[in-house]
Amino acid sequence: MKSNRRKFIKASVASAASFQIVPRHVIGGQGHTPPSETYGAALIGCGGRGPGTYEGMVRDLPSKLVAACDVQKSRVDGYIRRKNPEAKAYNDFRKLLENPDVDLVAIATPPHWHALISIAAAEAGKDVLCEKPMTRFIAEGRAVVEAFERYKRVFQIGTFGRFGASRSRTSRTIHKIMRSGLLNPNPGVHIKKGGLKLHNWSGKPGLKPQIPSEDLDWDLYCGPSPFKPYVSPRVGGTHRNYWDYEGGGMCDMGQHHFDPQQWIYGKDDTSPVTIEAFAPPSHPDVTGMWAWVELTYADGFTFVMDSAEWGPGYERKAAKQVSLSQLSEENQEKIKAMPDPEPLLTFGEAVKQRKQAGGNPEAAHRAACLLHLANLAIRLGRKLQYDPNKEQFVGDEEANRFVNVPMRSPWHL
Amino acid sequence: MFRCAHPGTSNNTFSIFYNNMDIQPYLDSFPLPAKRGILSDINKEKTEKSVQEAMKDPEAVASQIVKRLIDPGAEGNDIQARHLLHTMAVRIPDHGRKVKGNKRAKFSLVLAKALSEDHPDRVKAFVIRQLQICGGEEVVPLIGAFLVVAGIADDAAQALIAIGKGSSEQFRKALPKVKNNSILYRNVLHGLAELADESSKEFFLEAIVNKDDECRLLGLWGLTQIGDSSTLESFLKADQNEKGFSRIKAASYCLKFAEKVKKKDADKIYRHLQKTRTLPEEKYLQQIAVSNL
Repeated sequence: MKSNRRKFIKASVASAASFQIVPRHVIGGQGHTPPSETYGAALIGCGGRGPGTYEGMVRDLPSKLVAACDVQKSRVDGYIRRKNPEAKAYNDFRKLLENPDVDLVAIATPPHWHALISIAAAEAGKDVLCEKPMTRFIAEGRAVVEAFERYKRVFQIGTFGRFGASRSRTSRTIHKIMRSGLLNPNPGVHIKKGGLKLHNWSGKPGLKPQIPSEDLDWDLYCGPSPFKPYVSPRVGGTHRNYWDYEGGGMCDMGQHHFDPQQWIYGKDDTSPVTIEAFAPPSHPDVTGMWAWVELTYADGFTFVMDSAEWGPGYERKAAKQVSLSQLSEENQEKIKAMPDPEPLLTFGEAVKQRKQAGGNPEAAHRAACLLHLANLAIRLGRKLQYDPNKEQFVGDEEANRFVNVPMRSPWHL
Repeated sequence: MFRCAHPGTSNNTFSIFYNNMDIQPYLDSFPLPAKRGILSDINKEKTEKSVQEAMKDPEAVASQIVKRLIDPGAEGNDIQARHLLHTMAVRIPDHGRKVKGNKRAKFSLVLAKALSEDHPDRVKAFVIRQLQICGGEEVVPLIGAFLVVAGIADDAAQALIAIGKGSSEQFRKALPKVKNNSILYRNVLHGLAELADESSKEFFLEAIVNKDDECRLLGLWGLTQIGDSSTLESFLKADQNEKGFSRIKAASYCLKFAEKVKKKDADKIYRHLQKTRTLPEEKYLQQIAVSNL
């Protein structure tokens, strides 16, 4: 961790809405698409969500698929055949990123690759739309934020609920109350009950190793994660069930739900300070059961995940929406006088305007942190104290080992 | 089944000492796969009670559990044993903070010493991964011995990086022994770079002229991590030779290096980027360099 992290976070947030840089395709030149024409677009990770993620990225942009990549050859070949047979196929994302025709990259690999590929894409001068969950652990998210700040590239996380939320008058009012800091202590409690797919995305332990198919580069699939014997559920949608790659239904569905809530409640630039879970001991390899997790911010505002699929329901606090009526009349007037928040830019708008998108790196990282913190409280079996500025647990060296998990050589943040 | 002897000294005293303990009741409280093969039938009360009991003598329990671990391809299952051992590894640090006697270190040492016993490689890798969670300086030399063992070296490296304290020395000691094995060599360079080991400056300088792309990049990254201005000239010279993705990555190390040094040296790096990143597709790097000058 850098000593100037607090300053950096502040600067990142401040600049998120204002950075401007001329992209390569606007500059034009040899091998580059002038603005009047099309953006060269690419997809990395062609299975499952891949095609949908790609379409989401290019929705508002004149574009053409120029390249695609997957560690499974048959998948990338199949995708290119269907989408644009003239596009180039790659098995290694590093080779794709060398391609100067690529301006935009959609990333739909399993999450253990999200941060590294996002960072590498920014370093190669590309704009990125990355599937959720953004990361596999907390330090990855901070590294993504820093990379996109350093390279002034556009990043949008692959979940879009915050755009709808930001158009709702009620949500905008709550957002303004929260950002004003006038409600302190904050009585708000938001409970997400069910929908986090515990049973769907729990893993099967103890499977016997198998031989991967010849067209799968298993070593590259594992990448920064531990190299483990291949079993078929480790690849495909069931990768979600392994701690090596994701974090179960919590991470799979959590960013969809909590990303807009985090915007509504004005927490895009911070994280909870205490996290407590009710869960049985967690298995080392596969995701499993838990009952609830309570995450409380410094101002008292609380997010709760209640699985409603295992164990007792959450009963500590009742849900409580933040509203104007909780403020004094004088403060209510102050809120009413506040301007509405700036409209959130879609990925397409952000790319065209060279501004940061609504689901920008800092916001996406903080939303992913909620899920990682929740999972860590489940996995560690103890109440955690977290410093949202240093992005470290307080007085718990061993818990911090899960914040920045060492990667397998040669991968690193 | 491939078995690998511990590269260090064998010590079976601990396992003999703890041979008589019956841990079966603890294991039985942990679930086996239920419907659809998942652990949905887990009982928090029962498992927590077992863990509490096991924590009364964690060294003895650890010693017995390791014997129940099997190679992932072998007959039988060790699902419950892995579950219990992992739970103890995750919880022993907090438990150790609340009771006297440095329970965490003692528990970790039992696990580390079991690495010298005759276990399959994947079992040793699993034990090392538990030490990544709970181990401290006391187990570093015992894990460090595996940096020269193909197939376990990457697990050992990640555990050492996580533990941090005392680990650099293990990587430095291993380096001369792995120079002829590119995978192990990269693994060691990676560890030294990750730990930002200032004593490895010469190793990184040597690596940046290696024939292997990955080694060169790890060398550049290592120099970036330590951010020593005296290496800047060699660093920038090596950067110029990179091509393709390595050139992209090397530029990223340039920018990170610049963030770590004084303005005068940082400007030197930005001017270097301005001068060298002249391809049309590198205009964004030119812009970044100029904006930082």
